[in-house]
Amino acid sequence: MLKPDELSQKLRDQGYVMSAEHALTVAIALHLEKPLLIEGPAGVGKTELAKVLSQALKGQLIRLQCYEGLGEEKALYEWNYAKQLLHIQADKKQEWNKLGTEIFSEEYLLERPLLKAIRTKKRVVLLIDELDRVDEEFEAFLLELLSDFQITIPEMGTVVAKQKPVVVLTSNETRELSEALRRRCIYLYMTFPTRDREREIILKRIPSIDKTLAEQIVMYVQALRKRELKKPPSISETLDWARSLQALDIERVTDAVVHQTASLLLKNKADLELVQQLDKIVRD
Amino acid sequence: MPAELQNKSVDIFLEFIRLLRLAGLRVGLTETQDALKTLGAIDDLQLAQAALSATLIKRKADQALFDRVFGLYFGFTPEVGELRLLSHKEKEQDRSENTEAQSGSFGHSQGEERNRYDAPGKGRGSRGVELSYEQALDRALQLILRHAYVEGEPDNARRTQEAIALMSRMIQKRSETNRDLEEIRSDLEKAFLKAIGNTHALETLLKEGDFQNLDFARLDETEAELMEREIERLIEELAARPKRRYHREKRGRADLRRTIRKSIQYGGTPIKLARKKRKIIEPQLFILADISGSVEAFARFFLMLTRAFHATASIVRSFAFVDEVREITERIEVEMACNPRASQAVEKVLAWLRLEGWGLRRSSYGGTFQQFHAHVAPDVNRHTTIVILGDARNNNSPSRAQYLQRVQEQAERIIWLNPERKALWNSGDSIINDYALYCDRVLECRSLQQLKEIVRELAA
Repeated sequence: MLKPDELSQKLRDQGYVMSAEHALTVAIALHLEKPLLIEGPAGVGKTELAKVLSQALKGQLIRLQCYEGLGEEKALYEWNYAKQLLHIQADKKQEWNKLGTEIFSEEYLLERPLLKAIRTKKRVVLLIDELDRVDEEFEAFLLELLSDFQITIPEMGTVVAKQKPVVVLTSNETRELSEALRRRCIYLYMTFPTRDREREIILKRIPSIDKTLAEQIVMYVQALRKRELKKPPSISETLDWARSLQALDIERVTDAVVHQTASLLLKNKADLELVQQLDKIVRD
Repeated sequence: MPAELQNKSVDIFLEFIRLLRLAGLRVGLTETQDALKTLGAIDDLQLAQAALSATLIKRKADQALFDRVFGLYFGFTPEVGELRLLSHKEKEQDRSENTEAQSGSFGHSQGEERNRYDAPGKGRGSRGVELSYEQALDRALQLILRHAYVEGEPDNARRTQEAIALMSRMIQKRSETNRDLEEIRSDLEKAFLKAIGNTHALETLLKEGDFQNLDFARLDETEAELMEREIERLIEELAARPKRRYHREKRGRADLRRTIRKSIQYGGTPIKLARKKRKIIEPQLFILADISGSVEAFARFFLMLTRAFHATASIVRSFAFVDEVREITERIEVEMACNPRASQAVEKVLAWLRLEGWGLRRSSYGGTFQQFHAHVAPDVNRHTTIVILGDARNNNSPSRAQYLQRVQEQAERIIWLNPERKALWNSGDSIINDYALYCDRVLECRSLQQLKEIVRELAA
């Protein structure tokens, strides 16, 4: 039976606030044992969700950070060539068969995140972060892996996963992911939160903050997001700003305060200039 | 499985899937299975919509469509909390005679229709008195049933959807209501469904419009916005080509001749391997766009794509013309950098040109080509592709096609994109055939579908 409320509560206990709908989607992914694909602008809490999920499920978090040019070797496994060569050098008189078994053994295997996720006996949450940065070939390779959860290492044999890892894929929407991958996963779109949600998040993450200040922070950030910014501030920026305001002992937010501390919220020259020119940030 | 759903057959659910597909959402077997499994695992009906949404939607853009189909099919109201399904029985067609509401047919262009409804005293109650919301809804419904919704006709769905959109706007203006357009449209759709009361009505509302084949010149506001978004997606698609994992080296294959020559330095032993230097070809793309009158809409959409071509051509230059040519390359770059959306950037460039009086001029292709040949042709080389956007309507002035001929001799190829219907080519003052002689390809390009095909080929 699906119990999204329980999941939501467990995540809340870890300090992560999410909407009931999102919680349901995550619960469905867990129930159907399908990978969860989270898409959305940067900084809304996609990676965070995976981390918190692993804690809530009492599993180990294994993270594969994607980047342009990421290949199977760096993701799956590699042989420690240097060590193998040294071994061969050191023991020149050995016959080939024995040598073969020795250098292609566990000792010389460099286990990378994907292999590790498959071989771990305990519960695993596999986080594949920023998938939009890799090319389509890697996506295809991943797809295969996600269907079978087994890998064949030619020299050692086939490794089959003992337990199916919970897979979370994140994407910053910088490119369209392939249709095949999307269909393989349960899709979740995370975007900027509503006022109430954002206030809840601030109060949860920074318990010591003044409630009125939090309310004002939310008001200003929401107003800024309505403007034509190139990179609207996301939740992580809101939290940074809130903590800074707290540290600076600022009690109330005004337009002047925003002008002074704008660089904490906006990370873009064009946006900063736009905001500096506004005389009234919060429109009625 | 929620109690309310337990007695209902799977057919209801499958019908919902069918309607989703009709509306343009691609739902596969796996998704259907997932959805059913999930429904079996929840016990609260309130969660049903979210559960279906999570399993059937695979991209953000599909959410709005899903919600619409769900809303219409299940008529679900959270406060009531029960599942009200549309009856599949044929209901009596409720078409009452309404003599006041006689106003033309929906076959004409949108502009004409608006004029008809602006005519005072026609179907709007007595002059000056606004109708109540319910009255306006009712009148609108009658009009739609009478004129737009004709069962069995091929273009039925599109006409009905257009009619509903149009009527919603009229209702907003003419009746005493503060509701926003979406609400009005939704109410009108519900009234329509209630009146007809069968699956066919539902299909008419949901059937995916043939958006891909809409003529650029015939778009209304909402459609134009949608078109802009489609083009932005096209730009992204072109930019998201699979990246090369390994970059090409400047030096290429082994050059035997040079290796042997080099070996002379070392007494005949080929110590150093010489390699053939890879010739770097720098393809150029010149876009020459007519921005007068009806061609403007098309030019606007095409210019949004300039960014997408940077991946294929080393140099991309854009020129606007009516009766003279002006290079707008830099202007576009500047505006693209300042405006988050490509459509805004292009609009700003065109606005700037209009300020200089360009809106009032008449097209002169002859003059344009003469100028182009004089000022730009020196930069045209055998790696240059020239794309001309225009309808070749020259206002009966001299064609001066010889200038285009000279340009063709220098360029790699010239592609002419004409947004007019092919049937109209060479009618009136269109002299496309005169110019076609000197073009490598002349293509009709009036819909999104055609634009996509052409652009994908160009950017390949």
